[in-house]
Amino acid sequence: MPLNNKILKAHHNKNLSLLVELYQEAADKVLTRKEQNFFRVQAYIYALEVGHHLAPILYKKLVEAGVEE
Amino acid sequence: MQNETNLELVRQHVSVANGLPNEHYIDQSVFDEERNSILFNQWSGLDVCSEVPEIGDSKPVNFMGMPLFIIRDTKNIVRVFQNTCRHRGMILIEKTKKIQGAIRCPYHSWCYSTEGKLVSTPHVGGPGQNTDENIDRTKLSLVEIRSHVWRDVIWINIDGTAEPFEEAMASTIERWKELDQKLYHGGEEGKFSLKVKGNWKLAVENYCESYHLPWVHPGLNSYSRLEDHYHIVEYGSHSGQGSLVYRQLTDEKGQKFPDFKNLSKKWSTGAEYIALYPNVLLGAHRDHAYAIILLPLSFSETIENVHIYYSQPDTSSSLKKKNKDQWKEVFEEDIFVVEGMQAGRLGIKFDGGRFSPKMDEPTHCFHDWVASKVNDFRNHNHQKTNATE
Ligand code: FES
Ligand SMILES: [Fe+2]
Repeated sequence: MPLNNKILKAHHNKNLSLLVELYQEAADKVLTRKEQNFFRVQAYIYALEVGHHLAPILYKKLVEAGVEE
Repeated sequence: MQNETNLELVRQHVSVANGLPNEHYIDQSVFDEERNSILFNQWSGLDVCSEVPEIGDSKPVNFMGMPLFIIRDTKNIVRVFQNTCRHRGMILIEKTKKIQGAIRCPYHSWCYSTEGKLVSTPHVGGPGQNTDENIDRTKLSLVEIRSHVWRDVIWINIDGTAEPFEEAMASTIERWKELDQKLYHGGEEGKFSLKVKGNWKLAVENYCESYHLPWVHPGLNSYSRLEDHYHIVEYGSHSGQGSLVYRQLTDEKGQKFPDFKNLSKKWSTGAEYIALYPNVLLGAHRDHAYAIILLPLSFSETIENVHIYYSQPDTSSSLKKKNKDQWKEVFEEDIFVVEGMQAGRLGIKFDGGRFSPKMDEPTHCFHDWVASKVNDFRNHNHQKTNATE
């Protein structure tokens, strides 16, 4: 299944931990910095919501990229 | 409000006073005035901490039309917030749920900590950019409602102007000092709700007095007779009744609930029932206690949330069920009275009614409190109006 469909399915099932991983995967795949930040933000916000162990790591990356405080 | 109700007669001595005028029960503008003058500016009961037993547990509660939620934060403190996102005003918590990490607004996903801090604002500075020079997160925390916990009840002072809780409730706290012990909620066998088609104040009034026992609660009256009751009257604070003949419940094996510790002798057969103004009804016995929180839905509809407590965590659940059923029966017996008094106040010639000077002082005490607070509020507003003229 293409990543996009997996993401839609995870949204549909409200599987937030899976969304963290899928958005993270998306962030690693895209080409531009801007797109990468976008997906990383998506992953970070769901990680925050569920208290996912990746939240601090994503936070650090976003701060380093200058898009989070 | 165009015409203020006349409260002069209410504030007379109980022997000559009239009760609150009809409008206090059937008029939307008086209901709104009371919201600001006796509920939002006092310490009102909202809910109980046992409703959010674990860290991260949250529950939305509507109070007089205002959306709030309660939450147990990561430091185990129960807090109350306005349930409205600081961004576009979306409701944050729709139903009871456990917050695992942050409270994420379902609209644009601004995230708040369980302490109410705004922790992230995704894409607020454009896609992929979570910051913006004009968005100062430190100024956009959730609006916290001033709250205090006593006897597991979460009390709130919405407008923030009341005296500190311990001062405002000093005489009640002092009266029940020896009962200030750890309370264990009875769980599912320790709670129930009743919906009543009556103004919330009628539930308070009916609770205050024992005069109706022989007629409305004939079963109760057989062992808790009228003459075994005394009045509790603290003008300006609370009122209710005490009983001298409380008998403990026993199950088939003769077991009873364990007692609270080191109680004075009066509690071995005593019980007290206090309406703590504005909207909480409390009961205390040697072996259990309860709190009833009145949540007004409108001027003619009220929810009564009842919570029963014990001195130990693991008491017999069959006994707890028996106790709950017994109280439920008693409180249900009162419903027709509250609803009947509501309907009676549509009689436009009703004058607020007279009080029995011997039997109704606790009820008058409540009316007097309402009238004095409403008067204070009006005087304060008149002063403000005069000052700006
Ligand atoms: S309304 Fe809450 S994030 Fe927009
Ligand atoms: Fe009653």
